[in-house]
Amino acid sequence: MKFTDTLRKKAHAIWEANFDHPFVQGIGDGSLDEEKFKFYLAQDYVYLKDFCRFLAIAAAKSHDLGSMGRFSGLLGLTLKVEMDLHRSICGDFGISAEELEKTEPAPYCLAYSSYLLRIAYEGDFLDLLAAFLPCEWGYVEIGARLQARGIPEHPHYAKWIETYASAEFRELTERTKDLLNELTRGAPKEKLDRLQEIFNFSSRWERLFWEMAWNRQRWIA
Amino acid sequence: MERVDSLLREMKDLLGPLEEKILRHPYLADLEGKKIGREKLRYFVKEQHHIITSDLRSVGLLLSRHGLPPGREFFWIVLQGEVEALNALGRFASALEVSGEEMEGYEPLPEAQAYKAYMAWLSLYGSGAEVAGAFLANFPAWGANCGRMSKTLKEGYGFTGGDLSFFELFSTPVADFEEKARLVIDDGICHGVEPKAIKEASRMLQGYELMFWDALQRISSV
Repeated sequence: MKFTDTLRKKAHAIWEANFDHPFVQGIGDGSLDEEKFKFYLAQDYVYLKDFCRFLAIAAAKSHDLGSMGRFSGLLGLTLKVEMDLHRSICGDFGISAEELEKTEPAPYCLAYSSYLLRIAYEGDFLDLLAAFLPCEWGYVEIGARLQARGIPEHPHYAKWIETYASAEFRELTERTKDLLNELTRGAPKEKLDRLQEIFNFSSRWERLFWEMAWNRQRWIA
Repeated sequence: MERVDSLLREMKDLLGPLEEKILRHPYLADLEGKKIGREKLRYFVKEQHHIITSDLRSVGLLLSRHGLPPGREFFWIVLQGEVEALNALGRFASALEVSGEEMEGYEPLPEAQAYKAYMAWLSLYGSGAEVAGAFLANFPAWGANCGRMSKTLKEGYGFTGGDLSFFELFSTPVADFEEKARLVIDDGICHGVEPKAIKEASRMLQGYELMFWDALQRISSV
């Protein structure tokens, strides 16, 4: 069994809870309250800013030029394509680019991105891959599972599903999985256990990100 | 621990000639022969000031990256040592009448500062095991030279004990240091750090140590 299959298998309960979350299900059947989706988009935009920093550190900690190029490329894609896409969709919802820039991170958003950055600064390249994978792979799996059920009529939810279920995103995820599988070949059990722990934590943060969007989470004070 | 013992033996053989060059460095002979005047000794203080202040940050970062045992215990000891060293260096600077402003304003020599630059790189990208291995290889040679300098500066230059606490600090072995370093190395290997990487870090740091003495001798003999 490939190491990434083991990671996924051991985190199965968390991933199922992620997929079953009412926010995700609401995108799938088109019933999600648009206000919650708008909140999600703005928070995801804030999250992506720190995610770009994470990718930059991943490039810096890469073992070879191939991985360095890959993470630099992902950084470019996130900065230019994904964040542009967010600005454009938010524009459709009447949120200006200026407002988007001013969005304050909600508690779980800040905590998740801070966790990723902590792993990025403290850990090695394998730790970074394990922390990153639930984000990339999780979206691809959710996109594919929702698409298999049928695309909702809501144009933005349909677009969201089609984006993450696309062959391009699937290919990117497979490459990350291949890289992790290759680099963990022959790794000692202690290291693999640590990677599983990081993978589980990121997977749980994914769940809490949906929860944050569903409740439009605010700071208590 | 057998694999750590074997790795350390291998490193000792590999780095033996380099260590010999450091221990027999002509700077020390020049000092013992009183060929280096008090004025030139100021270079040592000013270069060390830039090294210790940078190493302090590097070790702080390492401690933040290794918040659990065995790394935490090891890097905590090293960090305490760096703090003490900075204070002790201040006492030697005072004895030589080098002010804080002078140390800050001094433009250090690139070859003398390569050690700290590599330490900063290791603290960001290296594993705890690489750093612990490099310290285990480096500290005995650095400590021995500090001990020799302390003796020479006391007997030949008239400095008193308090002035020389910087050298005393490094020439006195720290309890448990080696044992804790070995635990960090063992833990690193357990978590997939390649012994080759540990050997390389040790060779590099020791190489930069030699560059420090070379640079110091060059500037002190001008």
